[in-house]
Amino acid sequence: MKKKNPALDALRSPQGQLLLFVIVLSVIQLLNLQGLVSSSFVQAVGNTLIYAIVAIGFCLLLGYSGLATLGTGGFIGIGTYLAYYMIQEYELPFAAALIITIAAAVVIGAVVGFISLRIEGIYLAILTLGLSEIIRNLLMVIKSTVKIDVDHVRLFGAKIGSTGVYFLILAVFAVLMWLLFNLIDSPTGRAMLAMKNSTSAAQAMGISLMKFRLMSFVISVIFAAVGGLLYMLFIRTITTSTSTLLTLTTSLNILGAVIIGGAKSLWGTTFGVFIIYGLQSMFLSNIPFFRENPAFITMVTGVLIILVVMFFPGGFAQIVSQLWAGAKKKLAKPGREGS
Amino acid sequence: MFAAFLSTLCGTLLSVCVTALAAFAVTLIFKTSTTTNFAQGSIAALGCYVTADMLNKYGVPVYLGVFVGMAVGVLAGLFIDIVIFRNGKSVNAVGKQIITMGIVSIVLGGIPLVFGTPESIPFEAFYNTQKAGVSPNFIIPAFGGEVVVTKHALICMVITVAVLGTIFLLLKFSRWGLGVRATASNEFTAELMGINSHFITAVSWAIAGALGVLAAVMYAGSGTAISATFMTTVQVNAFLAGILGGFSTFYGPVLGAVCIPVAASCIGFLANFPMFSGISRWNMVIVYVLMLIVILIRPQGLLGKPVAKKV
Amino acid sequence: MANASYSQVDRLRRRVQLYERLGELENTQKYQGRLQAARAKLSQAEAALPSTGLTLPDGVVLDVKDLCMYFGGVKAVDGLSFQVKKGEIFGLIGPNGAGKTTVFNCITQFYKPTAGQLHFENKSGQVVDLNREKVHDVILQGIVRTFQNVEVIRELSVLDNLLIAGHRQYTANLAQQALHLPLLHQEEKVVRERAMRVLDFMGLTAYKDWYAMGLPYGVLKKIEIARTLMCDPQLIILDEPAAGLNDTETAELSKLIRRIQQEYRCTILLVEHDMGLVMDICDTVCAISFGRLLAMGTPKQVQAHKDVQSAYLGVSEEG
Repeated sequence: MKKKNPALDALRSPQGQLLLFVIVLSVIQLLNLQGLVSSSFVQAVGNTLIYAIVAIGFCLLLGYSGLATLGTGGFIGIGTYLAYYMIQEYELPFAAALIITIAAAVVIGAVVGFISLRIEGIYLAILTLGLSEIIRNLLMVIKSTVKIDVDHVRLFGAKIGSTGVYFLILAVFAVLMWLLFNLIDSPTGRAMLAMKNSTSAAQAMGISLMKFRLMSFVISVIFAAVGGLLYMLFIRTITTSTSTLLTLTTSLNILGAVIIGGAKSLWGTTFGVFIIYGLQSMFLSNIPFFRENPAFITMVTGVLIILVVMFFPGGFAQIVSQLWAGAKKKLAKPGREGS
Repeated sequence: MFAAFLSTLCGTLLSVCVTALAAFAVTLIFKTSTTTNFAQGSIAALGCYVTADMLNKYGVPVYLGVFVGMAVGVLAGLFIDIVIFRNGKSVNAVGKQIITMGIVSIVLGGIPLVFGTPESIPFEAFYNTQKAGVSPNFIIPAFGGEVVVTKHALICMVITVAVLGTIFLLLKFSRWGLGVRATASNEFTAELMGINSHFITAVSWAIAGALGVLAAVMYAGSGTAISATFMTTVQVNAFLAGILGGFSTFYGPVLGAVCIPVAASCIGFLANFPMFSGISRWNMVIVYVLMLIVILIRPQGLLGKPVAKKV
Repeated sequence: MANASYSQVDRLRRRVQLYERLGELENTQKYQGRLQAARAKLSQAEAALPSTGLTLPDGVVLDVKDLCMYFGGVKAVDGLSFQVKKGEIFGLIGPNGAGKTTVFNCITQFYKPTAGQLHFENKSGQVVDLNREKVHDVILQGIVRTFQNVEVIRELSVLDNLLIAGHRQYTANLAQQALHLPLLHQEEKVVRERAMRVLDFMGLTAYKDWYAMGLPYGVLKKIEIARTLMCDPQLIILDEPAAGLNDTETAELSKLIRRIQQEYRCTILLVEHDMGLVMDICDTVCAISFGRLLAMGTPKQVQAHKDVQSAYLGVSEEG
């Protein structure tokens, strides 16, 4: 009875959705190159996408392993400063910078994760909060403003400029998203969910709590650090003492994005990032009230976080899927309301 | 040199008091609501703003202003427990943790909107030197030098000892204290035994809110500029103190709250020696690493007891 | 490092099973080469596996000796000894608080016993000291359990719940999983097929795509039992399988436990309060009270034992 439509079927798979997403965002940049879309809009899109990379890593940690961290700001900071030193000071190629960033994230994540997760899951948030504050203070003392020259932003030896970085961000996002979709749909993803629901059952089934908690934490640290690296390439300058990037605010906003969007849904999380970062920078900044009160959106985020945790644990993704299921029912049985 | 060292130690007195109050508040919530209250510092900052406004704009006496600020802390605590936690569908431990993070977000965004964008407000100390026209410090000649203690820190110490002492006595001997200890060990059984654990938890939130504001006011009284995030460091230290001392007792975190600022300033003091001259920027890193090492060896904290999990 | 290499042997055994099963399922010879290679590696590894130096009497699969578990001053289990024979259904009974679940938790290493020996003959016929195993490695030895208060993963479908139980059968590493390389697909295919067979055996096929959240209690209990069948169990530990079931469901359960014992050729150790069920299906019953052994023998013998009667009915020694 159902018509088979290959294009629609492709859109049901995460890979198809990802492809569509990449195409749409590429078109935005191409429109900008034609002068049809403002550069500041494209800048906002790229910026939001960086936060989305950080948030999908957090999504695995919170939605699948059931752990929360408050260190996201600090981990982003590590990425930005490493990017500055490697790309500006030591003039390393991007690939080397990426590998070193990932390695540093693995080391820091493994040490802090190993110690805090040995005690109890709830301690992770506390120890990462502490770590993040210390990292920020330390980075501020080491160098208060970091700046990369546009000439140093190169890929395979060629200068790429901010348009190139935009596509680089898009590519990194797509690859990481694809890897995460695969991971969630694998024994690892199931093991993490099992652990979140019942630690005893998970252990009895042969799942090592430490291994999977640590794995998801380290992955979230890697994503945050890579986000920081890309941020430095894209924005190219940070003044740590005044920027909120490395502070608790960022950690909370990322957390909020994941919760509001739906902690178990990668697309939901991406949408959550759009609500928290994108909406403000792409659209609301044109409205005077929001431009003068940037803190307002932070407050709204807080209210949304609480409402979602209280009443819609699945976040926006849950609301959409419920609406979708309801709409489908109506479509399948027209006239049922009337009878 | 030894006198200078003693002065350094005395310099941490205020920090110890503030951290101890905050750490105790965090522990109280941890034990009665099985969650870590990340909004502790934000609520404290909010109360402190109210106190500052009372003092600066309306010129009320210090003690009344502090009282009103603490009342705001109480209300905020009660709001979280009664309005939010009790009405959520099935809010688990991580859910509660996230709700408190949401509160942080609200306060962080709300303070600039309500109290205006210039976020630092001058603050009057308990012992106002301008009015009294006397030195803010006690100077005790000793060990061939001078040991300096601020009067503000001494007053704060007296208040902290009195407040925490009273609460410890209440915990030990009052019906409420028994209820807190019973709820902490098992909320469900406590309820079966006729303890109104909702009431116990609500009172704990109220006390935690008040203590947080008291700590913030003390901290701000020393001349620190207040902002929406000015309590973050204190709160981070309070949490770390809880982990270091062990959340399983009430006095463990207070001990931790003594250790962390003292350790930090001892490391900072090393900067007086030429070979460690650059150490002060690293002192919190060193303290943090030391703390990690301690909990690597004793995961349950310095004074904590290991607990067996029921399967 | 006997443990580490045991898990290596286990992985290699999984590989061999994988290629055997894939060959059967796809009815091809194309996995033969890899199968031979895996087998060669397996026999090499098995030969290199150091002996644990432990032995058990003939026919005994689990030997619990002088087991003690103290919580502070509370002696939950105090010097308990019993032996479980291969292939039997062994019932552990006792009044509430007798320490039955604690014994199970000690065997499965959820608690590290204060003292005592736990020797077990694992799937490859080697006798191991369970106290040396980590809690999540106990399943590799062939011991798998259910829980008193059903611990089903509510956010996963029934089929996925079974796949969780097959977790240790996957040998694909993180990169192979993140990239969805062929090995993962092959393993998924084999484990899923096995899960479908278990679901069929348990009569749960109709529920396979349902989320565990909201399913009736009886079904959840069945899912828990189904999970134990996913991993070639040598010893299945059931913690109060009949709790919360009505009479018809209990009767069904006792048939099911018998079928499992015959079909999967495993030993079953259970704690149960429903005496009817225990008397009906157990070959050996062990009664404990306050962490100590009261009586052990056939259900009839234990039922007739006067200590057991007094422990259950509260008859005092003097009376």
